[in-house]
Order: sequence, then structure tokens, then C-alpha cells
Amino acid sequence: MVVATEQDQRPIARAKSRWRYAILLAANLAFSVSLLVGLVGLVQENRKTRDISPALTYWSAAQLSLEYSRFLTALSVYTAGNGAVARDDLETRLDILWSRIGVYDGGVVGEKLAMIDDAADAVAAFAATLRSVEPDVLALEPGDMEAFDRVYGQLIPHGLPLYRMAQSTNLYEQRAAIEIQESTIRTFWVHTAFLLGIVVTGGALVILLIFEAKTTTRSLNAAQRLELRARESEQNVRAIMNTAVDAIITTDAKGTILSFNPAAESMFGYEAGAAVGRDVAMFIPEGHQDAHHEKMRDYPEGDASGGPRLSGQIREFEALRHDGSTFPIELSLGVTDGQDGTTHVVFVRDITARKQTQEQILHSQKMDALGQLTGGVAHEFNNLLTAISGFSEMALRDPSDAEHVDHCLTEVINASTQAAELTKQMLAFARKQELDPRVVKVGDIIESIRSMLPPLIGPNINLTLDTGGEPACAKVDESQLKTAVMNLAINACHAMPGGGDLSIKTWVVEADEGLASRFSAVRGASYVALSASDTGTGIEKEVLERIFEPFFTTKEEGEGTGLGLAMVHGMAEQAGGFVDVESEVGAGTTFTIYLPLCDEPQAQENARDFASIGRGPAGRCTILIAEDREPVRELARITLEKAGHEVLTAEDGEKAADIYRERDGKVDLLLTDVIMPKKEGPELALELLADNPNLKIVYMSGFISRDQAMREIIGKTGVFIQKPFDPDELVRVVEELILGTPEGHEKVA
Amino acid sequence: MPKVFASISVVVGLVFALAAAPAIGGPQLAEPEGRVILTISGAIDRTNGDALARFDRKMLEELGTTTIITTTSWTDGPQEFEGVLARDVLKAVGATGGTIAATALNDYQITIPMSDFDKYQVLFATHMNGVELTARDKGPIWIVYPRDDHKELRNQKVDAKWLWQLSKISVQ
Repeated sequence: MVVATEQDQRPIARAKSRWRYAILLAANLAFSVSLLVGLVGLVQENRKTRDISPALTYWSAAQLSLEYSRFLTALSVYTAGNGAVARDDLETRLDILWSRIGVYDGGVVGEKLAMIDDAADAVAAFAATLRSVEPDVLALEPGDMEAFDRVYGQLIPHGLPLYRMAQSTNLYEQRAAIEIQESTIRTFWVHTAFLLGIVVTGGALVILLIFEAKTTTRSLNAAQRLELRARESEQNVRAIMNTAVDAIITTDAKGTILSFNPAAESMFGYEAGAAVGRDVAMFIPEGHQDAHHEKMRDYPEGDASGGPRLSGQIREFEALRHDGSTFPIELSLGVTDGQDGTTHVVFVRDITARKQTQEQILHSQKMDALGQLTGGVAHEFNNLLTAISGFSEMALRDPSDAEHVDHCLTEVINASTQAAELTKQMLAFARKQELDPRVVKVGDIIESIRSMLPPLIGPNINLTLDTGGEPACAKVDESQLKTAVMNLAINACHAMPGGGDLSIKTWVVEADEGLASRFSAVRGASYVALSASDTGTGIEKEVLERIFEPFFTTKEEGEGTGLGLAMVHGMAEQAGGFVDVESEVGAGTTFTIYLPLCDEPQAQENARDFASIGRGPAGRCTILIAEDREPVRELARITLEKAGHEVLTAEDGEKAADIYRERDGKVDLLLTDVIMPKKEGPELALELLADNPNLKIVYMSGFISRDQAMREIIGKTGVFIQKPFDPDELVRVVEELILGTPEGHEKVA
Repeated sequence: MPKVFASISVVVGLVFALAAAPAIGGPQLAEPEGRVILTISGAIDRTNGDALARFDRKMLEELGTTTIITTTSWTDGPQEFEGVLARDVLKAVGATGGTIAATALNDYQITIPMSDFDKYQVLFATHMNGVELTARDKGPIWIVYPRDDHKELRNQKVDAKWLWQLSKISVQ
């Protein structure tokens, strides 16, 4: 930005300085010319005054006055006749006097003298008188006082005018000298001003030149520095690109690859040369291509805030290698708007190993929790079994009392239902699943494990669950969330060896400044908060700092793996959230999981209307039951027979196949256990289906197999009903299938 | 014998008069016959009595005359001056000093460096425009500088050296 601005402003600055130069130069020239003209004038003036010498004019005037006096003196002395002045001397004095009068006749001196007030007249008058008396003077003899008096009497009145003339000349010359002096002073100042003007404008020109030269040098240096920095920066970027462990790919706005670093080459299996110029979509698996293109299309309008967009936000995706295999990646994207348009910088991290570790941690955590749970469940189960066996025995003791029997059996059913719920949840929890984040109601998840928590934490801890308020949804792996909550519960339990209160609650919160600064939360975004507060021992500050590190534990060996809180932390991060912990030693600890709030998903499951299904509407069918556990087999037989169907039973798969053949395949439906001795349910089903493709199959099991092939067979060939089942539910499932409802009761995928 | 001697003297005198006389001059100057118009005293080698070299108009003119045309501060337009070069006069008297003190009839006096006479054709003018200068007209001798030929001579300082009615020179 700086460089651009400097480049923009440079022509303006240059134009401005050009104007300054022009003005200064013009002023300097004007001053120089004025000075030159003035000096030429001064020289000419000086020459004029030099030609007309003031001293010479005054001298000439004074000389006339002097020679006049000397002549009169000589005349007196000569007339006195003492021989001191000879006739030659008198004549010489007369000649000298005439020569002085002659000065006024011409030349520059004469002209000047003529200009002085009354001077010319005085001289002319005197010359006229002298001329008139000259014969008398030349004829004068010593001792002729009469002639002398006559001559003297005519000459003497000119004495004063001649004196005045000399004085006037002197004054005139003085005035002229003063005028010249004043004029010289004026000229001096005017010329000094011109000189000053020349110096100032010249100086300003020089300063401007120096300043411009320096500025040019400086801006040149700045430009060089900038270029150097840019080069260093480019080298750094190249070094980072080449040594980065993560793949760094830059693309243009359309997704065309501009650069591809070595890490990207090894990650995706492409040479940089083969990748550059192609569409970045080539790294996206088939199923995700549309979503990618949609994002690319919407992206430019996606963020109006300007600047780097999406930077800092890390997303997880599936990526495609050159060999066609896919792998999980973590991706962050930065966008820069440069001169050549928008550039996307994509950072890609291969998180295959991390995913595997996470899954392992999660699983081991579940096992930890399960171990803990088993003790509690066994205790709970014993209570329920006590109730079941106790009430059953009581019913058998007095079978004739219908009311008594009814009461006892109702208690048996209640206890059985509770036991079934307990086992179902345990199985659901222990099941090893792929991570499958879905939008779920967090409160519902907590509620679903409500019954598992008391056995987990023991009787001396008072549990409060608050999942009220509006239903808040988050996109999270359900199993992970359950494990996380159970881990927090176990932790709380360990923190309160002597008992206490555990409060688990959920609510919706908007991220404030505090959360945004401490975590990577987006300010103003909404989160589902899930907190677990205990009144236990609390956690010391040193421990608090390391609490989320994997394998960090303060528990005794065998009590914990040190993975519990690491798993909670990992779960929250995977879901785009974070975990906060507040603790006070001696007062208790609160862990709060923040998960980004999601909109509630639209119900996709079609609620089925079972209202039309009752006992016997499907008519009498022949149903073959294969079940190794006798009580279950018997329960199923009685239930279905009571529903009006013909029922055949077998205690394993082979026997079931034999019965089928004995009946020549006249069987409408096979109800089979999944895992049985000799021949397992799916195998049996496939065998019978080979004979009769229209045969309906219902699988029943208390445990869903981990065998993927088996799960697929179950899903494709029949429907699944979870043990223990309600008799009414069994009848509904069977009859629904016979009636031809295409979808089963439960899909196993 | 005396005739021969006299003849030799005449020859020697002629040789001196022709060759050495203009430069160094003879041991004595001729006596002036007319009215003396210029008297030179001081550091001179040749005199014609009382350590003085006295010149009448004829003696001066015999040293050879020169004519220059120039303007003056006391006349209108260029004037033709004729007279003897100052340097010739001073050579004639064997002047050896650096300056001369020139004195006019009215006792006006001015000092002039001898170098002026070497550098410029300074004239002891006796005629102006073909007319003999008299005492009434700045005569009999007017010191004239070739003002128009040299810029540096056109100023008040030089004008002061244009002494007229020259009557005495003292070589110093």
C-alpha cells in the first residue's frame, strides 16, 4: 500500500517542485537583471560625474576670485612705485586673470560654471569691466594715483560678486555631492535588495535542489529496502512452503492450483508440475464434489467484511489421493486480495493417524467407563433379579389368587423392563462405532444416559440433571458425547470420595468477549453449554494447566488411564467447540463443554402407523422359530401362538433347517436368533431363502454383531428386533412383515 | 694644430650632437637666446648656468615637436596640440629623478611621476590648433595628456595634472 501511494504521489510532487523551480528561477533572473541594469546605470552616472569634475569647477571659480585679488594687489604695489612689482609682473598677473576668465568660455568645466546661478553674469560683467580698463592699466605709470583710482574704482565693485560666485559654485558642488551621495546610498540599498533577492532565491533554489536530491535518494533507498524486504519475505515464504509438514496449496479464485509444496506432493501423490494449473477439486472425493463447487461459487459473496476470510477456521474433510484412496484432512483457508486478484492459501493436514488415535482413545475410554459401570450395573441388576425371582416365587406360591398373581407379575414386568433398559444402554454404549457426527438434541442425549449415571457414581453422590429449557442441538458424535459426560461424572465421583453433589445441566449461551479471547470462539456466536459441577476437592492451578493432556492423571494406578479429560477435550474440538474448566481447591470444579449451536434437524424418519396392527389380522401363518435359549424361544412361541399363528420351534440353526425341509418349505416366516450353535441365524436365513425367496425373516438378538458381513446380510434379508422385546412389539413386527410393509422394524447398517 | 684640434672638437661635437646628445645630452645646454619660458632645476645633468636648465621657445622646439589631437575638460570638441614630448625635454636635461614638481605662472604646483611620460605621449604643448599659446590662453606651455587615446586618463585625477602656464620644473 505504501509503495503504491508513494508511486501515485511522486508525479504530483515532481510537478509541484517544477513550479517552485520556475518561480524561483524567474525571481532570481528578475533580480539579476535589475541589479545588472542598475549597475550599468551606476557606471554611466559615475562616468558622467567623473567627466565633470566638481572639484575642478570649484577650483576654477576660486582661482578667478584669487587672481582678481592678486591682480588688484599687484596694481596697488606697482602704482606705489617702490619697484616691488615690475610692469612685466603686472602684465603677467593680467594675463593670468584673463586666462581664468577664459575657463568660463567652453569645455565641460565652462558649461558647468555657466549653469551656476549668477556666475556667468558676474564673470561676464567683470570681463567687460576688465576689458574697458585694460588700456588704462597698460598705460598706468608708477605714482599715477589718479589713473589708479579710476581703474581701481571700476574693478573693486566686482570683488563681492566674484567671491559670491566662488561661494555659489562651492555650495552648488556641495549640493551635487550630497545628491550624488544620497543617490549612491539609495542605489546601494536598491542594489543590496536586488542582491539579497538573488541570494535568497538562489539559496532557495540550491536548498530545493539538495532537498529533492536527498528525497530522491531517500525514496530510492526506501524503494531498495522495500524490494529487499519483499525478496527476503519471498525467500522466507518459499522456505516455509518447502519445509512445512502440512500441505500448502495456493489457488486463484476459481480454484486453479498456483503452487503445490513438497508436503502436498507426498500427501496427495502428485508431482507439483502435474498439479499446478489443475482444479483443486481433483483432491475431493466423488460424493463431495458438488458441495465443493457450490462453496467455490458462493464464496466470493460469502464474506462482506473484506480482508482474509475463513482464516483461523479449521474444518475437517475427506480428501482424495492420486491412487484413488481417501483420507481425512484438516483444512484451513486464508484469502488475500492482491494485484493479481484473489489468492486462496489452503493448509492441509493429514489427520489419519490422529483419527485412529482418537478412536482408540475413545474406545479405551468406553472400556474404562464400562468397567466402572459393570460394578454398578451388577449391583442394580441383582436388585432387579431379586425383585423378579422374588415376585415370581410369590406368584407360584398362590396361583389361585388372581389378584395376587397379577400384582406379582406386574412387579416382575416392571423389574424386567428396567433391566432391559439398563442392558440396552450398556450395549449401545459399548458398541464400537465409526465416528458419526449428527445434529442431536444435547439434552436428549443426557437424558438417555440418566439411568446409567447413578450406578456409575454410587449412592453417596446426589445427582441433579437439568436439561430443561428450549431444546438445543449440536452436531456431535452421540456416542462420544455420552462417553464425555460419563467421564466427567466419573471424574466428579473421584473428586468426592466422601460424597457430595454433582450437577449436570445444559443451556444455550452466546460467546462474549471473555470466551472469544480465551478460546477460539466466535464472538456473538451461540453455543450449547453442557456443564458438570461437583462439590469435590477442586484442582490445583498447576494440575489445571495440564488437565487435558492425554495420559496425565492424578489418580492411583489402575484407577484411571489419564485419557478421560483428553477425550472430553478432543470430542469438543472435533465438534468445533471447546472446554472450559473452573476450579477452586476445597470448593469444587465445573467443567463446561461448549458446542456450536445448530438448527434442529427436520424429522426424516417416517413415523409408522401401527394402529391397524392387532392380534390376528394377518390370518394364520406358519412361523419357524430358531432360538437356542429356551425361555426366549418359549416366550416367542406362546406370544405368536396366542396371536393365532402356527409355530414350529428349533433350538439351533441346523434343526430349524431340518424342520423346514420336513414341512416341505411350507413356512411363512422365520424368526431366528442371530448367534446360535451349529448354524447362525443369517446363514440359516440365506439357506432357506435360497429355497424360498419370499420367505420373511425376523432376526432377534440382544447384541449386534461387529461382523460387517453379517450386519449386511441382516439388513438385506430381513428386519431386526432387539432383545429383550415386548410381546406386543414382536407380534406387530411379524404381522407388519407378513402384511407386506416393505421396511422392517429396525434397520441394521 | 689648434685648427686640427678644433676640427676634431667639431667632429666630436657633431658626433655627440647626432648620436649621444638626444639620449644623454652634452655636458651643457646652449644658452637661451629669447625669453625664457621654462626653467628646469633639481636632479638634472645638463644645465645652462646656475644648476638650471633654461629654455626659450626656440630651444624647446629644436628638441623636436609632436602633434596630438584630443578633447579637454576646458575646451569644446577635439583640439590639435603641438609641442615637445615631456620625456624629450627631460632627457635633454638628463633628468634622473622619479617625479617632477611642475609650477605654473600663478604658483599652482603639481607633482607628476616621470613614469607618466614614459607610458604616454605627454606633451609640453606650445600650440593649439596651429596658434601659439599665450599666457592669456593657458600658454606658453600647457601639459597635455593624450586623453582620448587612453581610458584611464579620462578622470579628475589626471585632469589636475593638465597644468597650464607651465614655467618651472623641479626634478626630484
